[in-house]
Amino acid sequence: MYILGYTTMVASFVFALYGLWAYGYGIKRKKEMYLESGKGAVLAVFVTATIGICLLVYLLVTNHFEYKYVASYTNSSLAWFYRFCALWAGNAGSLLLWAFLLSLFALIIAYSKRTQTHALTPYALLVLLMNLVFFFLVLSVNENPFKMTKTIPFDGNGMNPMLLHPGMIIHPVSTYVGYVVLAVPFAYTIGALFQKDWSTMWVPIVRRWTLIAWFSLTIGNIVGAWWAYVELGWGGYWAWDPVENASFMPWLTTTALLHSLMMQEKKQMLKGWNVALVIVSYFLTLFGTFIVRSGVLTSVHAFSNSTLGTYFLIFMIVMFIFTMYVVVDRAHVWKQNKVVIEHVISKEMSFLVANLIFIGGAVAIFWGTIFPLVSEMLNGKKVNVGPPYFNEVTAPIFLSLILLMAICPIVPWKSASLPIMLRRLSMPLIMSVCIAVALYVNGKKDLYVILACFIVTLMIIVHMIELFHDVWKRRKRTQQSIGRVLVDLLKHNGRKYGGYIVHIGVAFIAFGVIGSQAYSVEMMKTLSLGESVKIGKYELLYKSLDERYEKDKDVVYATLKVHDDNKKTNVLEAEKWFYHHWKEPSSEVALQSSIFEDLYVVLSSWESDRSATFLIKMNPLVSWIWIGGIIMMIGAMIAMTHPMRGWRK
Amino acid sequence: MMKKLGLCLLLLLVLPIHVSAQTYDYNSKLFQRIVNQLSMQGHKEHDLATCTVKQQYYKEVLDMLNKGKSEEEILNYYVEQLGEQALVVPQKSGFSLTAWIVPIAIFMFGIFVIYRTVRRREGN
Repeated sequence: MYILGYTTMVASFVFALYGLWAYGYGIKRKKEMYLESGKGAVLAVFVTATIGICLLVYLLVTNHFEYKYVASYTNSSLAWFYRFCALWAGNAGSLLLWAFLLSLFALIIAYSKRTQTHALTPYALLVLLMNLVFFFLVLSVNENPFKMTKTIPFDGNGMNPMLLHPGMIIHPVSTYVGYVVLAVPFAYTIGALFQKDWSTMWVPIVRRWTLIAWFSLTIGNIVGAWWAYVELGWGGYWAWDPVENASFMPWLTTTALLHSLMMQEKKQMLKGWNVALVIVSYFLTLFGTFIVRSGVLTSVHAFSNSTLGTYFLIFMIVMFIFTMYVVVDRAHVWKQNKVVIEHVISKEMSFLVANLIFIGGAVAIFWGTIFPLVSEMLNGKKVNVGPPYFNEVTAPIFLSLILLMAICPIVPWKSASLPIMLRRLSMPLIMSVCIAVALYVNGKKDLYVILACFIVTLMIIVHMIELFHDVWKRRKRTQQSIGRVLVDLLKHNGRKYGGYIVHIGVAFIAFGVIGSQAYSVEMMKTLSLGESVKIGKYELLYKSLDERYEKDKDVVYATLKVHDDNKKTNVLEAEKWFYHHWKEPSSEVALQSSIFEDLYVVLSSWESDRSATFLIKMNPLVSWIWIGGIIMMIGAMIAMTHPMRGWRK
Repeated sequence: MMKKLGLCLLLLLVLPIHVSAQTYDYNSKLFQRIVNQLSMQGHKEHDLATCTVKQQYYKEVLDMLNKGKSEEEILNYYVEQLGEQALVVPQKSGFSLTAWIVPIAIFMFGIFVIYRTVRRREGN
């Protein structure tokens, strides 16, 4: 099996290398035969990668501890689906997953009816094969997932307890998919630059793949935040960790790209800008991978003892030089159109400003992420750049973005009349002011919070009124029921209304972030049995401290009876898990979640007299973040089902 | 008169002692604000129950607060001991100021780009 497994890695590398040569030669000599042969190589890479990944999954699920990777990340007491998830728990497995996904997307492009005959496709496949060569080279030389142990251990090390959560099934995979998919728009862009071809297909292809990447990154980030919140026991959901930033930055740049592609589609504007965004997004994924696997920045997500950073750094430099050469050499191609905006108050202008804010946000986060390195290199001093920095720097950026989102739907293309716009804005403005005043009257005196709530409310109301207006107009025309009209609108203009739904999801997330950041209450309290403590509207009565023994762990759990002001009673169990295979205990949070707030209890420690110390938090509106995430995904799915003009051709 | 003066003096002496004798615990807002600014050598997000480094920091900060030290004094104490990396954010002075200035510079650059675009439109 070792021979079979390792052979699949080497064979994938050889096929990818051959495919690269075949495409390169075929393009240069304009010989269809070589292009066809390259296509066959893509299929061969996919087949060998599939055999390799299936083999590793089989070894993981069936506890073959003679393999180093299996012994390092699984043990016999692990549930089968976590043994499956161990595929991406370590360096070698996750790289194999990455390479497999890349080979799958290359196969889709090579054999899809829509793209296989397109002139850009050979160039795109050439670039994707460059990536595949790198990945399979690393898998063959440095990170062979089929390496064997010197002596066969009785049992494996098992997985880090923090990874034993349903989030492990979704978060890493969706983030990887997001990262890998971004190689496709990049490949097509390099192809378009080589080919000097900006035919109608480039925009729809790039848009479709970018939307898939954006969708995956959104799921990855939201599920990652939820996972951190319920599993790590620190009461937060976003720590501005370098690796979190590394997946958030491409999300920002792809969001900007999805907006500016509309400008290119409708107005033939921002071509060069879009090229830059595609390239930056791709390099941010490489940068993120470099951070995770090099250990240059401290992160809870980083893989330990990895030497892969050097490989990724070299690959990043090579790809950068290659890309810069193509971009500079073909400058006349992407510089064809300059931005000429006809009116200051127009959708074009608002999209341009939104793009600049997105990029400003990404650059600010990038700067904060690398600043510890910059400081150490240039100043010789180590510094930390933690959450307070990012919160302070990004809050005005994101608020201005939401304000723009509030105005954008009512601004038409080309030009707008200021009085008409103000008239359309008047009702949402009045309603938002009323809500801001109501907040102030109800004791929320923080002006920054009130301003933030005002802006987010304005954004929601503008979108709701716009939607209502369109429904009402269509209903008047067709005399259909509201439900029918809504379905029709989504059917006929899914891109516009899908976008609106995404915006509403963003507003929900914004409310969740504002509420949980500004009004979270935390206390640490040591309670004796029968003692109670009050936090906000809740009274917690410490009832008991017990133990139970499970197959793979011992559990200490404290039972608390929770009463709230509405005389509702609930029982919570905060637990500490001691896995037999792991030195550090892990906290299992007791969570009472409602639409308005979460009661979050962590069992911190206990004494022999059964007194126990609890970390108790009351986090307002956190569930709005998860609701917002779901709304965003629904909106994105609606938008994805409506391709751009030219895609169906 | 002397008696009253003596009483006033006694009050003046006692009052600061009374004020500084304010006791803090882990739930005090000032305590939480201070520990939230400390990186605790990378142990900030660790579980207090099991992390001895974090426990040591909590104990030290609480002791200093209860001895009457101010927030600034406590933070400075750690910066003197460990350098700037004792804090979770870069200071707003010296080289570290660039961490804060660059995002503002980017913002200004963005405004400049928009201004240029508008000017170009007017030129056209």
